[in-house]
Amino acid sequence: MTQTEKQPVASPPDPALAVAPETIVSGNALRGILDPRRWLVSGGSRTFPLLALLVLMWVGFDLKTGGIYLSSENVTDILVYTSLYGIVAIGEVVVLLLGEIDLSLGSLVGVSGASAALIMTNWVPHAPSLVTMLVGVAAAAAVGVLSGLFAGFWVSVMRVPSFIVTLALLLALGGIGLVLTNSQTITVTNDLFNALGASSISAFDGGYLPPALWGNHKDILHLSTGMLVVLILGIGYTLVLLGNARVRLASGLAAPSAFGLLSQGLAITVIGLIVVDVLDHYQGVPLPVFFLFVFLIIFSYLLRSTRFGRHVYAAGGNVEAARRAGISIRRIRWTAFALAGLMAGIGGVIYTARNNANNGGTVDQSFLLLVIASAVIGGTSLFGGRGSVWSALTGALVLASVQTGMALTLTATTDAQYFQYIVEGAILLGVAWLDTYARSRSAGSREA
Amino acid sequence: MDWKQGFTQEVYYSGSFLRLGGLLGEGGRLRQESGLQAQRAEEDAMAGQLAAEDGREQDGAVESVPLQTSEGRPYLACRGISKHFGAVQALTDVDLDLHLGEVVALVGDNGAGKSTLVKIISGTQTASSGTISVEGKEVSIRSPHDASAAGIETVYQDLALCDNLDVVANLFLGREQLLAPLVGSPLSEAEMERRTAAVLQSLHIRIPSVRALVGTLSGGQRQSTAVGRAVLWGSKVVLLDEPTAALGVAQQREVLDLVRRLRDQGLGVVLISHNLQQVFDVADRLVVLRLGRVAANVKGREVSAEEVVAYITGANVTGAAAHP
Repeated sequence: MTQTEKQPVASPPDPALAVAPETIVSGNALRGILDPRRWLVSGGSRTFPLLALLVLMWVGFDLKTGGIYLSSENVTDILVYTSLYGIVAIGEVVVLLLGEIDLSLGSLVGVSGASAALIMTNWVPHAPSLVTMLVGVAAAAAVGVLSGLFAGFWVSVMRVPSFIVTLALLLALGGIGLVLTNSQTITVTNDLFNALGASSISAFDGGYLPPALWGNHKDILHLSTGMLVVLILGIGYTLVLLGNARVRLASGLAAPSAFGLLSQGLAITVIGLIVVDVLDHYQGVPLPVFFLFVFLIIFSYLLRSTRFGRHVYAAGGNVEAARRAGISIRRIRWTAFALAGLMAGIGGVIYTARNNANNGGTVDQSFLLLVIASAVIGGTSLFGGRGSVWSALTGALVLASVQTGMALTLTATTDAQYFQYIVEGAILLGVAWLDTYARSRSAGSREA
Repeated sequence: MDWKQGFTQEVYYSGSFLRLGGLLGEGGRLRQESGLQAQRAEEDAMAGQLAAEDGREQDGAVESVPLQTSEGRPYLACRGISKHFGAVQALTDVDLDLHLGEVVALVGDNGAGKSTLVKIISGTQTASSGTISVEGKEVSIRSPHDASAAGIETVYQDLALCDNLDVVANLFLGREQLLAPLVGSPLSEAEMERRTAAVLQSLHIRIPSVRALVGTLSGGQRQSTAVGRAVLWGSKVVLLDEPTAALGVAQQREVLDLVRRLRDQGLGVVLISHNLQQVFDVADRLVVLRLGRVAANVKGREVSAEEVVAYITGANVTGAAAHP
């Protein structure tokens, strides 16, 4: 940057010049977005290796199982598992972005699910089915938020490290779940509630966006409910992209071409339609998958486009800078833990609905670790400030793909589970190494 | 440690002295004070000395001495600022004036109280006694927010930037613009980017892109970004705490050029620096702190580097009334 030495010093800024398009800054605005170093720092370095890994796994497992792996039924299975982990991982991502961690989410999924099951079976058993279901969901969400607020209080006000607070909560909630349920399995008979987990293997319409809307879903040319949703979202997304570009142009800034944006929107829509079509050949889009994407879109907006999200990234990147900028760190932390609790509550609903029962207020012991692994494999840093909610999707997809693939290729169930953990551990280590490597490279190029 | 400090400064000075001649010969592009004002400056410096020597009793006397004013009343006027931490007296009766369009360098040895003074002006610490006036009106600066409201922005040594956010996000951090005045409204990214580009352009700050993450920028670019943030928020006074520390030579020049541009745009700059050469390069006036007191308050071109070193170290130099 020695060029500036020769700059004339005195000239006061000409207002017209100040926004002239030839300014070095705005002219290259897009280069910043396309700069690979930006991807490295933002965790985007994961995207391509992870996609490659997924494609390799899918093709490999599909060949090994003779086409069963990529069948509609198994793809449905993979995506339901993805949403089980992914929905809770979204909440974990928000906390991780702050540089904190929430270990209580595993127990919280069990306890919030148990609360829903208990309230539905004991307190409102005779209410209409829909009311019972809504009460159950509200109860789980409320338990989740309350637990999150509790953890947030201890972290943000009492300044106890989140690792300790949530570890304590993990233990305590495990006990609370057993106390609540008396360590009994509570069966949920409410079909509407169970539909939220797409649990009904028997009932065709239980928990799926129905495939039949217009035309026969076995034909190429047909319209299913899921496709309609994808089309609406795809068109909406494209309109938002075009709208942003128009605003940028109106402000005298460089903007990507309309053609590029249209193709971007089209590509995403087409991918969505293909996936939905595959799912339609089984029973349609499972409701948990639908919910996963609804929450992904909501949280993506929240974190990327709102003041709250900007402050989360700022506090995770440099907490002192955020504080000096007048951001209330306490409020941000508290809110983040409450949101994580909320998502664990939703996860509790889906987990319980999926099993039609709550197992003594507990979930598999590996659940929490798989949730954290989802976020981290997807590219969210444990040190805060880097990552996005979409990492919850990619990470959970990788884990679910491994899980179902192992279950299909290894005959003994126990073998499948054992090897699943080994492979998942290896993947976690691999992507973490890749990330460290990429970061050291980018740090090197900055110094050069 | 002390003798070492003195030694390095001596060495520095002998180098900068040669440079100084050239600079002054250049014709003082920005130094337009009349002889009378120069005279006043000297008086002011002397008064500062006396006040420093005699402590609080001289309070009134200092204020009665005419200040050297190129544009009348100072924008920022600190009077009798004292600060103690328990039994430790960090600042004693310090006066500081700053006019718009002026660069005042705050120099002094480690522990002389420079940083404390800056923290008091920027609102991160409050003075034990003394007043701060902005445009002649006394203001109470108890938080960085108060300082911002008074038009004072501070660029801290550690920059207070978020490496994981881009330049636009950093400039608007905590003051993001929204598309609609609603909770949960989307950020007005285009408007923020336009204003960022405009302010960086007006300061001739060159960075690869306003959307570059700050973590990918060089030290000088980061410093410039931090200064850009201060200017964006319409500050009249920018406090720079060691802006060139840990920068390469070219980047130091970049930042010093930026300081001159701030002055030329009518801002007042308080510059803390250990580097006397840089101080003589850009500062219109030098305020030397020594042991928490103002040891000298002099025009940059009316003092030799040797004298400044004497003020800083407290050594006795002919003609300069350094106190023992």
